[in-house]
Amino acid sequence: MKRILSRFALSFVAALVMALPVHAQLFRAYAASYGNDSNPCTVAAPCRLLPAALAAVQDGGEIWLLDSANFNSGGAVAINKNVSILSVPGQVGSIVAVGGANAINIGAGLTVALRNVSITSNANSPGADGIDMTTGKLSVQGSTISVPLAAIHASGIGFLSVHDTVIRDSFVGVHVKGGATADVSRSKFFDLQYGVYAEGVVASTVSSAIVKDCQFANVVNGAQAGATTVGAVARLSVHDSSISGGTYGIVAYSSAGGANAVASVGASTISGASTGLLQSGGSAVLQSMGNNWVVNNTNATAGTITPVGGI
Amino acid sequence: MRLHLVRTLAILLSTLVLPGAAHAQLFRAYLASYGNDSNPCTVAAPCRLLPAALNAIVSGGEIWMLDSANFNSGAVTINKNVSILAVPGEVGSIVAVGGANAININAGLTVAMKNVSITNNTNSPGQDGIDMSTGTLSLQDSVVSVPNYAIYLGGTGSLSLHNTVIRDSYIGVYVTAGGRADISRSKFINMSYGGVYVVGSAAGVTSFAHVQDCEFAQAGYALQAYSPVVGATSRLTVHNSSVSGGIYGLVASSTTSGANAIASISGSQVSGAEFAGLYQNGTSSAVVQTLGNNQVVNNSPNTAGTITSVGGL
Repeated sequence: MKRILSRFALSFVAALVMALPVHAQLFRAYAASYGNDSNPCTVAAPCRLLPAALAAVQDGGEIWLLDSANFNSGGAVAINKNVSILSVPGQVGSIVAVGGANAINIGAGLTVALRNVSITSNANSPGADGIDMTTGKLSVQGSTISVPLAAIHASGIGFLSVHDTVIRDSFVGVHVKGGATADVSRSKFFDLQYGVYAEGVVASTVSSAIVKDCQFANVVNGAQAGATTVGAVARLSVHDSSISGGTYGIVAYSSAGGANAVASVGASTISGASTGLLQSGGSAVLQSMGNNWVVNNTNATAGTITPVGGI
Repeated sequence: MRLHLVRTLAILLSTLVLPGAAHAQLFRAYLASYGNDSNPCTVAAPCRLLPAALNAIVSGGEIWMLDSANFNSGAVTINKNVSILAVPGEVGSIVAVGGANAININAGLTVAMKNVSITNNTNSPGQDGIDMSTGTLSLQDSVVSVPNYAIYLGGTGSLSLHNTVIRDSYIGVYVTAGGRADISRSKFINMSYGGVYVVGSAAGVTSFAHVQDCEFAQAGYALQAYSPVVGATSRLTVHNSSVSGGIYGLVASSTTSGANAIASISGSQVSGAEFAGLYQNGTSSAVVQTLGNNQVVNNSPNTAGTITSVGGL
């Protein structure tokens, strides 16, 4: 009996200890221009910057940016737990890439959502990427990104959703490789070197991007599947989208036989490019549904275009 | 030795001055109705008008308009790379006044504007909304209504127009001299001459516009590729858009052989034009291309001139 009581007491104490840190962390943390990082990050006493809010929030919790301001300083924001970050509608939740760093680095295996944020580069001390992720899941919605390198860089077996977002004046818009998968919808890409780039660089991985209802303007390489490693696969599917201007509209590129790049396009408009559809390299395939409007380009196509019927 | 001392002193002074100047320029400057141009343009002490904020930021910086007000008193000259936005829920107004344009963008710059309202001061009317030549401009979530051109692109620059309303102006987007415009999810209403007008203005130069997911209502010559110069080319691609009312829906017009004007349309609706829905005008260097999937109805007539069918790919 005494032994049973001891075990009970131990369990009770353990439950208390475990419960305390959970209780100490908020389901929802708040940040505001008038906040202070020594505050508890409640709505009555918000914090000022994202790292403090991330420290305060429970794994799987939320961070609300309550007014228009910048919410990081001095370097990348490291997201180290599952979290949803949003700026209240009507406000601009700014996060800057500064000092050669990315604006946001997301730890492996996490589920993260960002909504109504503005990610830019500090012109006084430029940064690098907007958001970097490896594995895990990321949703970006209703946001704007303009940075020197990649707006969003996914380099592991993770999943990325980009919706209703403007990406402009960067080097790459959405870059997936190493087995990453991206779904990109209702978004606009402007003034970039690459718009959406699915890249096969790691053997035995499939990196893929699906693009739906998007516009690409003045993007040198609009949407591209490119494979440079034998055994790697890059897949790109574009539907109901438009590409205007730039050098190449839709690209399938393979640097060597066995480096597989497949780009498929349907119900889309490609116009004003030097070359509308480009297939280049031994294991590159460019599939066209036959219902694309490829006009007013210097060259409509280059390489081999493979017609594919609907089902 | 004295020269050496003077040089050392000069270098020392310049190093003192230079970091000071760099430090003085903000990455982000703020404007507000309660601001003052003698302020440093910080969020705590915002400026009042755009020229002061432009002066305060580093090239590549940002300007935020914090509340609803007008933020200029004459033409605004943008002379550095900049992103200008009004905070959502507020109206960031810039007016065309005194015969001038609202905004002139110098050559070769990268500029983005979001959530601004560009209108005309009826007490002292202005001209264009935004004038640019080379460089890039992204205009998003905005409204433009001015006496002349809402946006004038007169050089080899690139324009992205997205989710914007242009109304009650002479011409919505005018592209000439090798400009390239991409226009998406925008609406053009009550234009006295035209909606999107692409001009082939010089031999060997191609001006281009791509229109996607847009609506044109009572927009005169709603969509036009026009070329009056031999060897010049104007190209216009339209997809998934609608034209209602106005004079002509889609026009390709060439005044002389070899002056190339190509207007291409697919997946769109053209209805209620006073004259022709699709109009190929002038020499055979004007080409109207259709994919065969447009709904061109209730115009008087639906087509005029030669309409060329082009297959999908």
